[in-house]
Amino acid sequence: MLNPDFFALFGLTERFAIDPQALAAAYRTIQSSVHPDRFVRAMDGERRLAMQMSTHADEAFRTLNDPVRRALYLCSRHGVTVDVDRGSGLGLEFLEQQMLWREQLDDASQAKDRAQVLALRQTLEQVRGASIAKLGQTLDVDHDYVRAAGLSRQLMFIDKFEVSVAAADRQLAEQAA
Amino acid sequence: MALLQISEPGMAPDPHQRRHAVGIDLGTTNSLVATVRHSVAEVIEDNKGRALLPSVVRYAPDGEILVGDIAAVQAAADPVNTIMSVKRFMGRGLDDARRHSSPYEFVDAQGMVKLRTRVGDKSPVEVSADILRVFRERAELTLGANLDGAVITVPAYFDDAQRQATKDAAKLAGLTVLRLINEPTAAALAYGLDNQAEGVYAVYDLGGGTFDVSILKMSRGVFEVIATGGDSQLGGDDFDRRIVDWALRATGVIDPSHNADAAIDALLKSARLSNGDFRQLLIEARRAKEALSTQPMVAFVVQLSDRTAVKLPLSREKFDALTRDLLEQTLVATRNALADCHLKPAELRGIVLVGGSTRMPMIRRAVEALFGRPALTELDPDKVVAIGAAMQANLLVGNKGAGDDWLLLDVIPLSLGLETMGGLVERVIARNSTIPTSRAQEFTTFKDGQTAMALQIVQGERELVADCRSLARFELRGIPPMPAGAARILVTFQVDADGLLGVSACEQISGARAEISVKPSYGLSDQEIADMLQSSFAHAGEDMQIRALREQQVEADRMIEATQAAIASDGDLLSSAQTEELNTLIDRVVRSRNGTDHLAIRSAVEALAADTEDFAAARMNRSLARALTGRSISDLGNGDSGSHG
Repeated sequence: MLNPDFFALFGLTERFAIDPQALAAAYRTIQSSVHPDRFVRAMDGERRLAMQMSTHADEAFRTLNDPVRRALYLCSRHGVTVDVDRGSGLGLEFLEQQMLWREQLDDASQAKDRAQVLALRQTLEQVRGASIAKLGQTLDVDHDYVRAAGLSRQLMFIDKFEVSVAAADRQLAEQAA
Repeated sequence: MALLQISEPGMAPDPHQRRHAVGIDLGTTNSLVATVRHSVAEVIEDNKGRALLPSVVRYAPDGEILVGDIAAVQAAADPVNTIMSVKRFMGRGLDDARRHSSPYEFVDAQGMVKLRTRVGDKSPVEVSADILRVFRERAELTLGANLDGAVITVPAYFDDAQRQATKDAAKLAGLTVLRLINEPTAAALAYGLDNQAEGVYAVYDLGGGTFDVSILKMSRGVFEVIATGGDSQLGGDDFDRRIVDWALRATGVIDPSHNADAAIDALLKSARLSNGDFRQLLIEARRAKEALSTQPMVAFVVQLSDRTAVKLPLSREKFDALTRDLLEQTLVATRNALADCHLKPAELRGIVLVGGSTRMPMIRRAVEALFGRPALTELDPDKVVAIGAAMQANLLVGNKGAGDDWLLLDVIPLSLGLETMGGLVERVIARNSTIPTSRAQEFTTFKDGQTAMALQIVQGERELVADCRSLARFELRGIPPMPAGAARILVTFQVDADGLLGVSACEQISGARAEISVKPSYGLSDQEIADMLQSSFAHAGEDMQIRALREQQVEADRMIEATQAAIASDGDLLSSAQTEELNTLIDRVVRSRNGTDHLAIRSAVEALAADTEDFAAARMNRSLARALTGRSISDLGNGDSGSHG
């Protein structure tokens, strides 16, 4: 009933590079047929199943729609699981880079230098794009799931940091307004 | 007096007959009811041709419950027994209720504040039910039939306690709640279906007591909310209060240097300002505010009971200056919602203004400036929410016309989480998550041999539990003694399509389990609801047995219709013996529903429900398979890695 293979659920080939539009369209098609709103006056069993299936489709969509989650999901399907809460194994170089970025953000925020924040945002966008490309290569071509798990965790940190940068940017924009 | 339908003995209702459903906009200031008739959604007026029902309830000395205009005329003369803007107190405690001065006597009660009136202490749920009951009667009289169900709208930014309170009020009023939907989403539905809109739209909804902003993606009949923001304690009422504060300061009634709420509270306490005076000031402020939407200058005139005259000219410029920061708060929430979905104002296809408060020219100007385009206002901002709700009610109840097919995918407005060590919040479901949804998180014990665990569930965006709203607290017991950190407690949050949360916890090694629906700390207990029902029946002269019978009959009819329809379309999934068995059980439900024993109906329905479980699963699988075929399955391989998500 609840297809544990998220790719199969949406009729997609199991791989990192996916067509986001095809995913979104398949998601909407499934929700259109299983959402609880379709079963308000249905049999009791169908009403309960609708809630379960709609929830399942939601989880599957969230997993595949986000590059980090999608990559970690692929890794887990190949027996590689990572504890995402642990900070170890990211690589010294990456950690140093992170610290440098954080310092840059703090400096720019304190100096209320929005141009500097925007420059950092652009850098991050580029790094993020490059990381995603590398993840695609590692997963879809090299099939190196251990390495991909490490790259996913790096990408997760980049995403988190990007949220901080965006928040700082918004704050500066509001102060300026 | 509602008309009751009586069906012929032994006959189930015709499954193809039109069902009667309404949409209700239960507003802070005004409420409306609408329905779809002859494929057109329209508001239902009272016998004097009025669509808007002021959300005012008066408990009169003779025990009569007056609702609407008839209650509002006595608002200043009988302020304590005339409840206005009760929506502000839904699901709220005493501290919240006292945040702003108001002419009520509050009573602290477990969970939700109550209001002391001459007929006793009233929960906001009961007061809201009195408003909803008027609509049920109005609709049943107009449609000439009992209602099969209602969609009730709530502010998108309502939290779990406020939603639960609204649903309880509807049940208390004898309504079958098909769904709670968010007000901006209802408005978007009314607009979108009219205009066949595609693309991303923003709905800015400033009502009497609440502010919401929702960003929606409309695509081939799917209305997908991608972000929402707002403030469930900010609305037109606050603009009125600014006028009152200004008038009292300008005339020297309160010291300009003092906090207005504290100063007014002191005046009310010392009886230098009566509750009636305060109500009169608020009513005059609302009148002045509304007049300023069409004219540049008004006179603010109130005669206080001690004969002091408060008389001042108020210009639109002055009013704008007095309320500038309230407007700014709405703009900040709007910008945050856009940031949440990584969109810039210019990327939107349109912006819809909803709620009576958007008639204020400065609001419209500021929203149009923010988005750099004129706002859509062709639908009446007072009626659009009820209209959208009626359309959704009509769809949910099964009255499908040609082309009537769409899906609303909404989100939860506030994050849900659990308290962890040190009073910190561990977020389990993030705000703007599409519903229904479910997430599980693992926790562990912090002491050796710990056998119980207290779970506090909170809603809000802040890091500290103290800054979030506590929804419920429950205990998981029976954890086998283990070293600290060895237990694995899986806590599952499930949010349903009404946006209501249920939580269960399970220790995975021992299987110790605890489950709650989130009600106790800020909602009403089942016993309280039962007591309120009892007293409302006593008042309305209605019979509890008849109500219970009716409710079970409605359930029975749904089950009969649904099962018959299922057999008709997917009977091939059943063996002939199974079909016969189901038909026998259906017959039993039909026979019991025509009797008078509601317990017998319930047991017949339960037996039928149990026997259709496997059939239901088989049908779901079939419909899912059908939905997926016919869709071209392609994986472009060279596509990029996906959106931000």
